[in-house]
Amino acid sequence: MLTLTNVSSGYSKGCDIIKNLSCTFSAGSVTAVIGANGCGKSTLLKTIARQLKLTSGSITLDDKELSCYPQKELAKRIAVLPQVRNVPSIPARALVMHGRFPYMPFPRIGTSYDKETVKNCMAETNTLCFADTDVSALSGGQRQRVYIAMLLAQQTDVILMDEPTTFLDLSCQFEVLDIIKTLREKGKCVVVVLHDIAHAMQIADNILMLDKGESVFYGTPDGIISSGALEKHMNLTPRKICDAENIIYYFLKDEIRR
Amino acid sequence: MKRFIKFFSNKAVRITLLSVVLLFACVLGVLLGSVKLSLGEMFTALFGGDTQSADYRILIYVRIPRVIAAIIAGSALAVAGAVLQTILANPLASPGIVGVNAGGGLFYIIAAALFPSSLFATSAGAFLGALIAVLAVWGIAVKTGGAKNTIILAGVAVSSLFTAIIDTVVTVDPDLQLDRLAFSIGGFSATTYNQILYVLPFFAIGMIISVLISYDLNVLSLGDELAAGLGMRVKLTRFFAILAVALLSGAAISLAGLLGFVGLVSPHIVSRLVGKDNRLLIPVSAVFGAELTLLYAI
Repeated sequence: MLTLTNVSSGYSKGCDIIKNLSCTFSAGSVTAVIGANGCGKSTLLKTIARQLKLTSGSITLDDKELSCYPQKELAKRIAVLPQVRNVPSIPARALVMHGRFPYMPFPRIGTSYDKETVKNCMAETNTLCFADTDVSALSGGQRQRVYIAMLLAQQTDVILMDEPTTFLDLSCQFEVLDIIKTLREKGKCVVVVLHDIAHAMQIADNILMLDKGESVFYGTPDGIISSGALEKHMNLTPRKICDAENIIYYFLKDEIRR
Repeated sequence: MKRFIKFFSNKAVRITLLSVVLLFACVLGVLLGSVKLSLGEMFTALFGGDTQSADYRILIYVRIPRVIAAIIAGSALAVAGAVLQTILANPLASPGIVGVNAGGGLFYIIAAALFPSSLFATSAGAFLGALIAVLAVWGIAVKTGGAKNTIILAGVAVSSLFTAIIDTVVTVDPDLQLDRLAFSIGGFSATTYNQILYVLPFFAIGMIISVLISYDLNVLSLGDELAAGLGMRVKLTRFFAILAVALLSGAAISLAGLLGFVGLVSPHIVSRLVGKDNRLLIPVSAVFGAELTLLYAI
């Protein structure tokens, strides 16, 4: 569905953050992007969302160059939830309605279908109960769910999320991860930047590991354990706890182990 | 009491009340001044047929142009302030922050120096200066990325430069100090219909742009990245917003001189009354800004 071929990109000329990266994200799958701070995870999402120009390589969406999509059309195919966002003082329902922006020509009046879509997306993310509450008055977890409802209202095939669980308590983190799982079941192609590798192992079909802007591993969660990439590039040693139903991974840093 | 509070918390009621207050302010603006008129005297003067009477002349040549100019300048500044506060995500933003005051001031002073007896020249100069300053700020901001912080920084830089030039001009020709003072204080005492007619198209275009992009401004307030992800052409929207601000504040400044508080205060008060949805905030700010300026003009 979404194919990156030898992609390089960055914020200024001659200084690429993402270097020669190739991979494919398919429909109905969750890909977790992991790596140390500053390795280019957010830059990768911005590049896919066409917010940064490619310095080389190509990105295709359904075999069509990403650069060929008009801005509005792209927003109907790819939804992006950035890491840093403003918190507007508007009701949650109004925020979710912004997800319909690509479908609203001038004078930007929502149709009954738009309103129905917003309602359904809020129901899916369990946010209908505070639809009329000001976004700035919501808790971090509620706010995150409202933003995800907005992404859903965009009705795209590809969803990019940059650290959607950051700053959330554990219970809220699991709520967000559950929503990501349901997105996969709906056939969406989800690419999510995660810092918690245990979470990535739990929900992802594929893991893309970056180091200094380069792809150092792309494969299944089991594959990353056996490849030794975590030890090599992040100095992390995986350990697992198994019971009859679950395998839970945790990670030790070299110094702590000693 | 609860019913009373509930009644006044309804946005429609608040907007209606603000509109009624505007009407009252208009009537007061026509009646009050150094010569006070009653309602009866106003009707007699306007519809009595005596076009040579002092009351008729005061109403037609002083009070009515003053009211119209105050409505235009006030609503223009308030809307410009609301638009700027949204696109810059800065509650302290007002037209002055993008160089309007300094640009308008400089060209007002230059026009006053070159054409000392021409009211048209100074008012056109102020408009032109405001427009040039804002476009200069936008030009610098675009060259350096077009982000909201660069607009503010470019605004500060352009304002400082223009203010320094004003100081230089006034130092060379100290007689211009009085003109500078007149511009800084602002007012509507000498407004003519011609002045109003000249600025009306710019005011109208600025208002139309602001209303047309009001929903886009709501989306832009989520942040550039999110807005771009929703399919918005962020730089283009910001350009139209800045253009609207330039036209509106240029129109206001050429009519009234500096009235900085209206652009800063109106959007804040109005957002408490009707919320932060720009589709309501912008038109209601226009009404409130007009009221505030009318009361100042009286």
